Amino acid sequence: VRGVALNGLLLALAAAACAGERLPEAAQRGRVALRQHACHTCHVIPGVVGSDRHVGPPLAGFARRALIAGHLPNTRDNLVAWIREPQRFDPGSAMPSMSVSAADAQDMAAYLERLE
Amino acid sequence: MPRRRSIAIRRLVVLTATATAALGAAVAALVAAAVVRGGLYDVAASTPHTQWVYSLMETTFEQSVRRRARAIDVPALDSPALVQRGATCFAQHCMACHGAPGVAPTAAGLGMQPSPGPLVDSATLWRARELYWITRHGIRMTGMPAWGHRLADEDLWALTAFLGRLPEWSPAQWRREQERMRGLPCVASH
Repeated sequence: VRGVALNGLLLALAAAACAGERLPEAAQRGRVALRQHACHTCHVIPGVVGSDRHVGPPLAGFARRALIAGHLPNTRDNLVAWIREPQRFDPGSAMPSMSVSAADAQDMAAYLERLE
Repeated sequence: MPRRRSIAIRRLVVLTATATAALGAAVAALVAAAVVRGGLYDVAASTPHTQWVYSLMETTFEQSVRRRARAIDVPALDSPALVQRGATCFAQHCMACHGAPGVAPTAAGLGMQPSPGPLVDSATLWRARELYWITRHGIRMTGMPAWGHRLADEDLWALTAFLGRLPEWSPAQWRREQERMRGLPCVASH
């Protein structure tokens, strides 16, 4: 019985390890970049540690969203462009341009696109 | 006989409990020593806390502020001149780390951990007396300075008044006012 329990535990650990690894590298870098550019201080983002702040909309289910910020079609290019320069698309938005590099914006998009 | 046996059992239970507690304490001390002295704890700003550590510290911070601000009397905060003065102080001392409507924090402000974050929702999260307390005393280990040693008391209240009106400022209005505020004084004479 103890052997079975140990096997079960090892299997569960292996499964957990695999689940952690399933996030592609770009998305992993994106998750770090989202914190480093303080996105989580306005948006609740699943998987990004932070406070329960709702200055901007929560980003859960982002992959299923049709529009970015209510007016841009949700494509990779639009998302990267919006992250880098939201004020260019919507000067009335409280979201400032955060000096995000093109590479970081691509990685952030890679993470956000996985939020089903 | 049953009486003597029950005493023996009780002694065994006490002994076992004591030994277990002592062993537990020894193991805990060893683990703590390994983490602290062995450099096992990751202090990198690029590695986040786990959510439970973050939430534990956040709750400690919130409750500490709420308790300590309880006895503070809040003066009238609705004069437009006071709000305007608060906006000027905000532009000069707070914007670098907290940003402003349509304005991102500076690179240093964005990179701080914990992130200072925006203050547009601060008046919905805190009472006026709590915002005043945080501004005056600062928050240890967050980078938030104790502004009570840098600004006059009226300036702290002016900032508190301004924070209550911050959601009404649009990015366009902030841009316009910033030009004007650049030449205005924030610090009143002590």
